[in-house]
Amino acid sequence: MLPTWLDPATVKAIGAIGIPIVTFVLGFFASRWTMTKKERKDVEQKQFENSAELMTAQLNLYQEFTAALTKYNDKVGAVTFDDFYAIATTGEKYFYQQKIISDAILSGRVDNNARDNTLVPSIVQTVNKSLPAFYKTLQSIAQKKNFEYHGELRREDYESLYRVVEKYGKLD
Amino acid sequence: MADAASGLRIKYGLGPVPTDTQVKTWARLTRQNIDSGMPREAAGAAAAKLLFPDYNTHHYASQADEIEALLRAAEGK
Repeated sequence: MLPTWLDPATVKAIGAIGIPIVTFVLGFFASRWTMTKKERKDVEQKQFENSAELMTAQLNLYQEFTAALTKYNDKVGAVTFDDFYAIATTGEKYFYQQKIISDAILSGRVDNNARDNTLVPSIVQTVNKSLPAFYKTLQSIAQKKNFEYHGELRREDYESLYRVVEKYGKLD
Repeated sequence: MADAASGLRIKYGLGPVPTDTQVKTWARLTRQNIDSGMPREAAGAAAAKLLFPDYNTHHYASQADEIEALLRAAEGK
């Protein structure tokens, strides 16, 4: 038996007003939760542009870093603390860019192809090879030449790089 | 164009740096492959394989290898 307040007139009113409201609400949320084809394309385009920008910045810093190293290696006569310091700072900048790239990877802001073919392999090599070699060498030079240097490799300073390696790559 | 040429040389392991004409031909072939439905990476590789006889004959050091070698030289200085 229907409750007394649910007479045929009320049912009709609910049908007339309620159903359009419910449909509208569902439609609204569905459009918020899913992307149209154009929105998806826009996201992919943005991710592609992000990857390209990150790679360009990374390449510039790599060139600065290797230029400082080459200058140090090719220097005729005694190397100075400034030459050493140039290696330390350009190296830190290069690794800092690797952190920015790692954060972008972890938050899904890069293109999948760039991530798998270029960015992740580069981060994996940085963690497995470049970072340990960088700190070990700088400590050794500082000791030999009597330069003031207290840098050391601490995982917490490069946490996002390690996370990328653990999630997408392989730790040596 | 020089950047693109040296990029292609490293990416596809070529001997000498490709000429401007070769780079343009590669770009055209790649575009055709993409238009015919190939994914971007595969399209580029297929075009390179077709165009360069020395495709994948050279291996170039990665950034990490280069950094490691330079650091080693610095340490020995």
